[in-house]
Amino acid sequence: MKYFALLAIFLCVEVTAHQWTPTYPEFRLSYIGGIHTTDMKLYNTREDVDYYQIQVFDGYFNPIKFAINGGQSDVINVSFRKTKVVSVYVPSSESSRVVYVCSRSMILKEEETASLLSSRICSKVK
Amino acid sequence: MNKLMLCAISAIFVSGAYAEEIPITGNVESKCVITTDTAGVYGNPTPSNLSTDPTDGGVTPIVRYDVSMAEYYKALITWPDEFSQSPELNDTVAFDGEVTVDRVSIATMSDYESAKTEYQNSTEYELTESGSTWFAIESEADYGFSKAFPGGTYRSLITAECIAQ
Repeated sequence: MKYFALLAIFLCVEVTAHQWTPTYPEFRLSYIGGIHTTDMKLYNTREDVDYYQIQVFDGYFNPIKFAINGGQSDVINVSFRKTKVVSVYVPSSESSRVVYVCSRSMILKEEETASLLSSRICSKVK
Repeated sequence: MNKLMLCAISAIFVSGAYAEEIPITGNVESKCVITTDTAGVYGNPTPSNLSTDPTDGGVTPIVRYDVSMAEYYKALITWPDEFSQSPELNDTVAFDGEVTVDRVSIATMSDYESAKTEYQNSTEYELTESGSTWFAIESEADYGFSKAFPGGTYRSLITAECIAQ
């Protein structure tokens, strides 16, 4: 017990979360046939987070297939205090089901000093 | 010569009549910002228990929500039910937690606590006022049947969500 760690780090440093706007996006027909799109803006004010996962859900938070611009995955890299516009694409047949478009902070597993706060902000399609 | 000078002077006055107008534009839009106000620390009051309660030697983490417009968002805060980092554990860990309103920026937000909805390890608040609300998240973990936690670092993850209504 000599080296027993009395304290465990829960949250280490003060950080802020990201901003995800607009609050109420609208999907429109994209230039690709059969695909609807909307533009979201992510402002990263978390110094400890560089990657965000984009998520699209229906009203019951069931995931809906989607794609984003410039990437094969649903994870985007946004540096500290930078803004990125993310175009979200969904099949037109699914666009009426989309209710929430969310962004969630990704915390690196090997991160030693990062705050362990996972922040997720969801906009609602109306 | 006099005419030339008069023209030159006129030109100076004419050019001096221009004024630079620098517009400042702004756009107030609804948004939600989540801030970690106080870092949380687990205390270890007994060998089998880790707790963020200050009476147990811990520090309760506090998260602040700022919303720019009323009734646009709800807050969903989830206390941890597993460690994201820990030494190897070979017995069960029972997690418990509680989310409460710690401070508010305007008096009418004091209703948030009585109106909250709790399910599983999540607590939901309707953010019906614009301004800042501080939420305290208590977390506690008990190891096995009064078994001592192995030495090492323990981390767990709070999920703070802001969902448009």
